[in-house]
Amino acid sequence: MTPRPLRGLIAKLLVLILRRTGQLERGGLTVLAWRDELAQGLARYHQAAYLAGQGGGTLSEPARQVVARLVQAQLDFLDNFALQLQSAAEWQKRYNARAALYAGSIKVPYWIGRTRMLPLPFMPAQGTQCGNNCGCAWRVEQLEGEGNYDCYWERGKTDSCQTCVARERGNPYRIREGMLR
Amino acid sequence: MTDTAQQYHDLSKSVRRFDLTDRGGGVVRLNIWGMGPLVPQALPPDLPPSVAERDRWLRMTPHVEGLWSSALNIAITKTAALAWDIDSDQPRISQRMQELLLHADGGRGWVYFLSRHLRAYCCNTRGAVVEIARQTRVYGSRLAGIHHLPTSRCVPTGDPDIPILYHALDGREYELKWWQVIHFVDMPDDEEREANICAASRAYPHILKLAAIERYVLEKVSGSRPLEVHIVNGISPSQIDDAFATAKEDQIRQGHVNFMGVVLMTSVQADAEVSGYRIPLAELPDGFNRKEEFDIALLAYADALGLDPQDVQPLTGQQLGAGAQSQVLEQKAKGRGLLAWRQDFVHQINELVMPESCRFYFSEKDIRDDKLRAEADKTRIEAVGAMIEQQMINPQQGLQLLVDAEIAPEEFLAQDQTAMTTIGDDDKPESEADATDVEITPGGESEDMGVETKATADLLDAEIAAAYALAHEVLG
Repeated sequence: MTPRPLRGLIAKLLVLILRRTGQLERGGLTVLAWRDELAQGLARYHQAAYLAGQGGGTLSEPARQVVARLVQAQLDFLDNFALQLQSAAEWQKRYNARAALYAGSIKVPYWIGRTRMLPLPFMPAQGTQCGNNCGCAWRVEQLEGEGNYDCYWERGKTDSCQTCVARERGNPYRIREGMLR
Repeated sequence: MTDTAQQYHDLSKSVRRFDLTDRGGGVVRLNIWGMGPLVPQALPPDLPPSVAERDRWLRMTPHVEGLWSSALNIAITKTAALAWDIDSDQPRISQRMQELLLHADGGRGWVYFLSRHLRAYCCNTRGAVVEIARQTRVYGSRLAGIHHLPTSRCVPTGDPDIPILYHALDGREYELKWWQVIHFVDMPDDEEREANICAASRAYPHILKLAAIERYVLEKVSGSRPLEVHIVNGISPSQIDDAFATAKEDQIRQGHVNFMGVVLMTSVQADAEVSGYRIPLAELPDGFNRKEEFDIALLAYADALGLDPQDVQPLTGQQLGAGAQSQVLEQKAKGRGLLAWRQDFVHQINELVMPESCRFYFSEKDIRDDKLRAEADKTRIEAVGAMIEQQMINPQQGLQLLVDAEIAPEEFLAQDQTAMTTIGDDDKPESEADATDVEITPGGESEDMGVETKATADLLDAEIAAAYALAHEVLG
């Protein structure tokens, strides 16, 4: 149930990550250069995901701050990963798989943009047991009056993790006058 | 003398300066203030109801009963010898705090200060009082030193703003505000009638008994006073004298000089049949077993002071299981006696003496503790490993659990995922100025958010144009 624009962005980012990681594995890149390349990619694709989620337009300052914090979190993970690669005695296949996981991190900014920065408590792929593999989505119904919404957490896969199942049980998430009740 | 030592020798900021009388010529006279003999002949069987009088007798107990004195010394020494540390991210401040404690009690030093403090804590119903000397009497004024104040001259007021009145040797009373003093009390009275119970109070019946037993044995052996009266008929005083003279010569020859301990009263009737009556003035009861009484008293002392009984009576000739018994007793001792004092001391020092950026704590480096902790850690690691194997959690979550259990360092995680909901009693809560605001960001949970750096901001700016192009591309 991943929306098409998001799927497209994830695929492009994944290609970038796998290419750079392959170069690192073959010795064509230093760890530092690999880290910088991935950092640039994450910054670019996080912003793109938010813009795609909101259907275009521009990146407002509040949105930029939210995206910046998301990117920072990923860069902190990336720095950790780079340290481990730096000190690793030899390359392991799991490093490739681990690098690929970063592609799924852009789901969060996408859904923040998609839900127009409503004060929802969580996003798909955020704090879930399934992590970046989360295929769930928000469905937002606007109601009468200013700032009134009913939001529904929809599981996209039959094998959703316990976190997503529990979130679904919390439906609907009511926003009234711009605040989550 | 270094500058630091000289600074802490200066008592001009302490209330103790009023105990010193300057006679000129660079000599000071310290008046000895007390009532009665330093070492009494005997302790009263019942402690007086007045707290001041009660404490006077309790303070004398180490002078009267040697084993109690030794047990007390062991408890004090063990605690005064504990290592301690000051945590801070500002080395200069933690160094200054360390100097302050190391030069406690007017420069006499930490061990001296703590030894006096603990002796007062154990031997006074009113507990022990620590003065926090500051440059001025104003709250928050810079620290000048910490001092032990004699409990006999500290009167608790019950007023939380002015908890102690200090009776200085100049005959005047001085108020000590709550930021100038810390008052430690053992087993505080729940009714606030000052009926606290210190270690000496708890052990008092045994101190009394053991002191009496030892004194009896001493007097019996030394013959220093009569312990029995024998009334004898049918023998004349001169015959008694001859008999004693012979016995005395014999004893002197053998080196026994004192053999008194019995008073003989003879009747005048020399022709009466020899008979007599024995009246004991002081006697041990039938079946008295000195070692048993000794053991009972030592156990009572250990209980009162919160010591492992083997600290006061090492295992000699005891039965099997001694090693394991030691271990069990050691673990049990962790919940006794001076442990409560330690917790209170750490809290009060951190609250009233240490600045916000510093944390004082006792650091015990016990190999047995390390071993126990390693065993507990191993069990926890195995449990987390099993959970990962059974796919109940993923490796990242497993690492998070180990970080929360303080087995793995926090640096192994990019960002700690779990909010800290508990705070240990030796942790200092962050001040508002230090706290990092955790807010619920619109559109998402806070725990996946990092703190944006300038480098990240620059990176985002550099990539924004490419981001717009990408978004446009996927949206068609």
